[in-house]
Amino acid sequence: MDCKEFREILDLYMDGELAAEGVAAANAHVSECPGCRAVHEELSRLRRSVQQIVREHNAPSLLVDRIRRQLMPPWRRVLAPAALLILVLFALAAAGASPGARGLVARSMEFVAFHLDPPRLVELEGQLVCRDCELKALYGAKTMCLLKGHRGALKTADGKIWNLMEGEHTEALVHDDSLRGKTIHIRGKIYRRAGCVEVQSYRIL
Amino acid sequence: MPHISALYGAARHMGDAQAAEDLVQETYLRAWKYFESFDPGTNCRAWLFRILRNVWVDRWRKARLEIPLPDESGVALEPYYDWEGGLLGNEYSEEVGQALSELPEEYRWAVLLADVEEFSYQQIAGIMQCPIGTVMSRINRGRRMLARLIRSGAEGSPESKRKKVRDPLEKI
Repeated sequence: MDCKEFREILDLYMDGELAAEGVAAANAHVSECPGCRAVHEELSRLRRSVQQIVREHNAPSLLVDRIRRQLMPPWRRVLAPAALLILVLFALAAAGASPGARGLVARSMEFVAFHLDPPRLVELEGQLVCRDCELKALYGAKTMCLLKGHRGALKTADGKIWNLMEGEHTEALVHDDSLRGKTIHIRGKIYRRAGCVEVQSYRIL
Repeated sequence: MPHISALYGAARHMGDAQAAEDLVQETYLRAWKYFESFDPGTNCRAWLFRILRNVWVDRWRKARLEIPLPDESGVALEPYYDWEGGLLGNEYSEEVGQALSELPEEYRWAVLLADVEEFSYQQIAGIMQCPIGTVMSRINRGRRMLARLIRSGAEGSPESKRKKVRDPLEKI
């Protein structure tokens, strides 16, 4: 094979489109001819450079998500909300059956809540109450407040009683009896799993 | 999602980011719709690229009424590269990107499918729906034109110089 012949089949050689004997002849020529070797190397570099340029574009994750959603079969699109609705109805029905079933439902809902609501910075508003006294009033819990002193907690409008973590901003809130019954606005981090708030700042309304 | 980055990479060089997203999305929707027509014994990536190419043809090329390239099959290949003597610099990625965008679209498709996706000529002919001889000439001319464009870019040429780079099929 001479230079002219090699240049004519250079693209085919590069692209693996030559038959075995053609490849052998081209290999032999490249090993002997510095000029053709240089051209072949330049073309290889050009190919690598084009590959590099094109492959630096990755499909945006939002595009992938959008396509995945659109490719979801229609029955799944309908079934997913339907299954959730059935589950909620079943849970509500079971909740009426017995205290054990209610407990199971409550625990399941808590489990979901823990995973839906990771610790995060929030603002809460509610009434400062003694946690144990509230439980006594609500459920007749046996409390030791008279002996050990009251312990301040925040009761929000939904009836949830949030414990306040001990810290530099919570001394008065937890232990100052004169603040009990007041409406407080708290900024802090909630830990739903422990029913607890880490207070960063607060103001009395 | 298999092959999506390859499809997006190619689409991104056939249009801007928004156009590329639309192209790829439509490609997958069509592939899903016509999945029964896919032969499991064949290359899925090549099948998806064929759809991508069809979507591109339908949406953009027709809309812009672009004048198609002349029939290349009767024109002799160019045997020599005019970069001999190391005319390309060591680092030419930037020029490559620019040059690629200036390459006529049919040549760009051929170069992308051959150099980046490394499809066989037979597969490229299937994707571009043209004879293998046309694929060969598009790859051949595309690479040479790309090299000229890179060279004119690397020499720091202004637009006027770039315009001198002719389509090799253009009659003098």
